[in-house]
Amino acid sequence: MEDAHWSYIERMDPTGLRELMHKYGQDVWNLAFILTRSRDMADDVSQDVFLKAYTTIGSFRGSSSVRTWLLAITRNTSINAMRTAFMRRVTLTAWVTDTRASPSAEIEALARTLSDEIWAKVLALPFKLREVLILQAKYEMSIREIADLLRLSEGTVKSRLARARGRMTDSREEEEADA
Amino acid sequence: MREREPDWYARLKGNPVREPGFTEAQMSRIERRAWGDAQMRNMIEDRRSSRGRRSNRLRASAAVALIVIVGLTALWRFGGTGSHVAEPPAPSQIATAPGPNGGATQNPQSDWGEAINPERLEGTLGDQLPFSTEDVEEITVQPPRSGPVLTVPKARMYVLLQNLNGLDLKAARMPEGQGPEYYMGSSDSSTLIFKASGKNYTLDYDPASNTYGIIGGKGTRFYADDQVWLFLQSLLNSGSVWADYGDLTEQGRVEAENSSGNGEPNNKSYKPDRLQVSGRDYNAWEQQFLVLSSGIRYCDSSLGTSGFIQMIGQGNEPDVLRLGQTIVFATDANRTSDGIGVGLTADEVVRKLGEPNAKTDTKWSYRIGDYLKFHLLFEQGKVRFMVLTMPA
Repeated sequence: MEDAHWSYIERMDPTGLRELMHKYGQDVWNLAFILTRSRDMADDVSQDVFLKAYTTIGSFRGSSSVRTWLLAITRNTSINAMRTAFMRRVTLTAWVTDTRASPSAEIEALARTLSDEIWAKVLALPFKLREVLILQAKYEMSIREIADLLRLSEGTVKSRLARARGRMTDSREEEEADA
Repeated sequence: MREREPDWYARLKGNPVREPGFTEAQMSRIERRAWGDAQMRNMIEDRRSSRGRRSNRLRASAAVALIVIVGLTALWRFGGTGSHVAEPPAPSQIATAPGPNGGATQNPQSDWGEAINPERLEGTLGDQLPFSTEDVEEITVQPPRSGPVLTVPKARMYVLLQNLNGLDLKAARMPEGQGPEYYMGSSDSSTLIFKASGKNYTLDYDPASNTYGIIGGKGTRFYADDQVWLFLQSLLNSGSVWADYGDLTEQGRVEAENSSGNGEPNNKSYKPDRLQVSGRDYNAWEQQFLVLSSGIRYCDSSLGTSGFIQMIGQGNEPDVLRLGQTIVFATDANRTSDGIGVGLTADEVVRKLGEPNAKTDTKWSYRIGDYLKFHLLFEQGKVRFMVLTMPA
C-alpha cells in the first residue's frame, strides 16, 4: 500500500493493520529498543504505537511519510514509557556499558543480545544524542525531517549530531588505543 | 548537499539485536488487543443506544429478584437450606486433601472457583496456570471476614497478571522454616478470583506476609512482588499511607500515559546535592534501612531480585517508606537543602527549586544526569510524598 493511500483512510481494517505491522513493525521496535534500551519496553511501546496508529489513522493526513509518522509516535511513546517505568518495574537500568563491579544479569544478558558491538556504544550515548544519531544513521532521515520530528531547530539537530558523532569517534579511538 | 557519512554508519543499518524483536506472536497480540478494544467501543455504543430500553429490563429483573427472595425465604422458614445458597463457604469450611507438592491443597472446585495449585515447584507459574493470562476477563478480591467483593480495575489487572505469569516458583518460594510447617494461615488472607474463558480460578493472598498460596493457609507459599503488595494495599487497606502512595503513583502514571507526550523533558539537569533529602542521596537512605530487621519480603521474579518493604517512623504515620528501588518521604520530617518537603504548595516548590523536567498534575520529576530521580507527588495542590528512585 502506498503512503498516499493511508492519508485517505478513516478507519483501519484487519488487513491494513497487519500490513502496517509487516512493513514497519521492525523499524518501530528497533527505535523503541534503541531509545529505551530494554526489550520489554520495546515490546510494550511497539504494541502501543500500533494500537495508537490503529485508532488515530483518521488523523494522519500525509504531511510526512507513514514511516516518519510511526517513528514520531514511537519516540513520544518511548519517552512516556521511560518516565513511568520506575513504578511499573519494567526495567530501570539497561546500561550495556555499566561500569559497576558486578553488573546485573539483565545488563549482561542485554549486551549479549546485541548484533554488533557498535550498538553498545550507541546505547551508551545520552538520550538526546542517541535519538538524533540513530534517526540519521539508521533511519536515513534528513536534518529537516529530524528537526520536524523532534520539534527542534535544524541548528540544534546539527549540533547534537556533531556531539553524538564526536563521542562515537572518541570511544572508537580509545578502543583502538587500548588494543 | 548531504555531507559524507562516517564509515561506521553502515554498521547501524541493521537490527540492533540478533533476534528480531518484532515477531509474529507480537503482531497477533496487537491484533487481539485492537479487536478487543473495537468490541469494547461497540459495546459502549450499544449500551448508549439501548439506554432507553434499560429501564424496562431493570423492572423485569427486579420482579425476578423479588420472586427468588420470596422463594428462598419460604425454604428457610420451612426447614430448607436457603440461607446458604447464595453464599460461598468460608475458607476454613473448604475440604482439603494432600497436594502433589507436599502441602495441603483445595478441593479443586470450591464455590469460588478452581484453586491454582502448581504441581512442579520450578519454572514460572505462568507455565502452570490453568488459564492464559491474556484470557482473564475479570479479577475480583474476596477480602477477609466476608467483606464486600472488590473488583480489580481493568487498567490495574496487569499488576497481578504480570507477577503471576513471571513468578519464579523456585526463587519466590517461602523458605523452609517459615513455610508450610510454620505458616498457619492468616486472618487477613484474601482470595483472588480470576475469571477466564467463563471459569473462575482462585488463589489465596496474605498481605501480612505478601505471599500467595492455596486457600486455607497451608501448603507452599510464594512471595509476590512489591507492586502487587502496593496495589493490594490500595484495594484492601484504603486510607493507609501505603494506599495513599499507591493511589497517587497510579494517578501520576495514568496522567503521564494520557498526556500528549510531545514535549521532551526539559534539558536542565540538577546538581545531585540539591536533590538530596536531609543530606542523603538514594544510596545513603538505603543504608538507613539496612539496619532494620523487620519488613515485608517481596520477590521480583522479572528482575531476579528480592528485598523488604520497610518503613521508618511510628505506626500509622511513618516518616520514610522503602519499596523496591524507591525511598518515599511521607512527612515533613525530612527536606532538601532548598527546603522542599511534604506540605509545600506547587508555587512554593517552583520558587525554591524551579520547574520540573517532567510534569503531570499529580507528579513532578526532576533530573539528575540522564535520569529522573527525584519526584514529588501532589494531592490537593500540596506535596503529599517526596520520592527518590534508584540511580542508574
